[in-house]
Amino acid sequence: MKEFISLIILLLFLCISVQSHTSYAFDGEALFKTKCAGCHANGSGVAQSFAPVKYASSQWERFFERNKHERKKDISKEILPEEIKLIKNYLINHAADSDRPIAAGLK
Amino acid sequence: MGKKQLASALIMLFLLTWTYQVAAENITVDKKVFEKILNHQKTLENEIEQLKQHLKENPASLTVPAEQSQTEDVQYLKEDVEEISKRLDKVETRSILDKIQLGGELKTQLESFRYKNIELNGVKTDQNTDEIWSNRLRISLRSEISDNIIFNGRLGYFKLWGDTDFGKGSSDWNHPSVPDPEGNLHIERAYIDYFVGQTPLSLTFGRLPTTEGPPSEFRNYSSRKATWPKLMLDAETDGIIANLSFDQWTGLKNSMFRAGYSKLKQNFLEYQGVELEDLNGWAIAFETEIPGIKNSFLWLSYILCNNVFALTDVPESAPFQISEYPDSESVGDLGIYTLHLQFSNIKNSGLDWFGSLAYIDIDADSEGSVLTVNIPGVGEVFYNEVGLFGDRLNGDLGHDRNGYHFYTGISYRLPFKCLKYPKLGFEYNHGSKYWIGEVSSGSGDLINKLGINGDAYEFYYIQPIDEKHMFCRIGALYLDYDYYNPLNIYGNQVKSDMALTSFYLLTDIKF
Repeated sequence: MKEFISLIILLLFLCISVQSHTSYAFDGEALFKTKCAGCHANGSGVAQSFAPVKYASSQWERFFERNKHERKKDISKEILPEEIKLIKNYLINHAADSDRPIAAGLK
Repeated sequence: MGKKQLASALIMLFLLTWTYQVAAENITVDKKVFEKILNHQKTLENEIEQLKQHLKENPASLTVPAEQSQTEDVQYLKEDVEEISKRLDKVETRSILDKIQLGGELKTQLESFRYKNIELNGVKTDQNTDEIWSNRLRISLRSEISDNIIFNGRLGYFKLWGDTDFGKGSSDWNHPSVPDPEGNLHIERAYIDYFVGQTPLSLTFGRLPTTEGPPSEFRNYSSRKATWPKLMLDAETDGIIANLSFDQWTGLKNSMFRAGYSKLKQNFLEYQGVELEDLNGWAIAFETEIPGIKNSFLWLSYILCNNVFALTDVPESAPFQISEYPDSESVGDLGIYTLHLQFSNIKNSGLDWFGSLAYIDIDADSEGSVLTVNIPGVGEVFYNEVGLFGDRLNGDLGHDRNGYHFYTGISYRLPFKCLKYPKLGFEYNHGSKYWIGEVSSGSGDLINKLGINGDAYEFYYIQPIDEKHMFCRIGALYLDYDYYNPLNIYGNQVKSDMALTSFYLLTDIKF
């Protein structure tokens, strides 16, 4: 039993130490909300608002592959390529066919 | 020849040539031919004038061939659009008629168990089960009936490989955790979410999403899959929940107040002449994301279960039987207070943490089920009377009890892109002497670690195979019991030094 706990504690330290010098940029959602909402916010009048569930993941893939946004507006100056990648990941991970949260009263 | 003769000859030749040329310009033409030529010339001049006039009036007519080409293209496009439109109509009609979206999950699991000091028929022994293989299939159903009415359902199949009699006697309380020997498909969930107009109110009724709630998602590599935390209540329930979203009023993101009613047991023994009160559950809860902390989840709740059923089943190996039920028609009431807090992907580090605390307040009645034994030649003899965590022989029938359970854990997403960011996780939980394990027995695992009156440790590693659809989990579980009661919540809690070590490997595929 003691060995088991010692092993767990050791692994915890390992995790925390690795974590302390590692940073992920998983924050596509924040970028989506700040960068995209400028035009796509409800009532902005610039462009239609939308949520990631608008399309399935493969449709989002196609949207970015074909660079469809550029047909309507070039956003390369407003959103950097790296940011577009994160936004793309966020949209795909929250697409209509993604693993969505379930609870009473959630749409 | 002299120079004079040469010059004369040249002058004569020049005069001769010039005279011929003048004569050629004055050709004599027949009058009829000349008139014909003249008429033709006039006709051509007229046509040129007409053409000039036409071009003046219709300058675009110069591009006639291009226009014809474009018209053809537009015609082709129109035909294509019409054809696509017809096809889309068919697809749309089919889509409207396909009212139910299907999804699924298949889990295949291998487990081993090593019990130490387990008490079998009054004798302590060690018992090992080297391998148990199982399959679990879940089919999820969803229908967006209208903008404000949504149906959700889930069918479940959970069976050990091959023929077995393991798993008999499952109930709403523990069904997700108990394999069905027949391999029958079971309705785990079937409920309607009705969103009342444009208000923040919604009603959820039917067979509710109340199993494997937070923080199961860390361990199950999924998103949230149930309404309340598993430490509050992890069981299949039928009932109704009113949900009031607070987002608009308070600005608190993902905040919701809930009030629910459920019948956890109905008197199914009435036809046998046994009068027992129905076990009702009343719940109020509040959840929200903590302001300023993204991906956080705070939950506070209270659930009252009144009229806890008296003991109605005894283990097959027990030497006694039930001869009488309590006059009060139940053995008491209980209330559960729950506080749950969790943070996912803290500061984008890949680290998750949760802490869950439940406190149980047990109001026991002073009567219980009367147990008797049959002694040959003597007949039925009183054995004991057992109520909620008390019995007649120990003189503590009707004593009120309090219990608690503490559950915490972390998981960490390792920064190894080549391995698709695998996860390491550790969980610990402790249940006190009077913790009622049954409230968390729908955990979906063969061993309900949250049901323990003692300590449990679990360590696991998740390896994503396909980031969205498939993963493997390998883990070790150690349970150290302080108390173990074969009659569950009835009678006295018996001290125990039983321990269980389990190792497992599972693969889970979502589609």
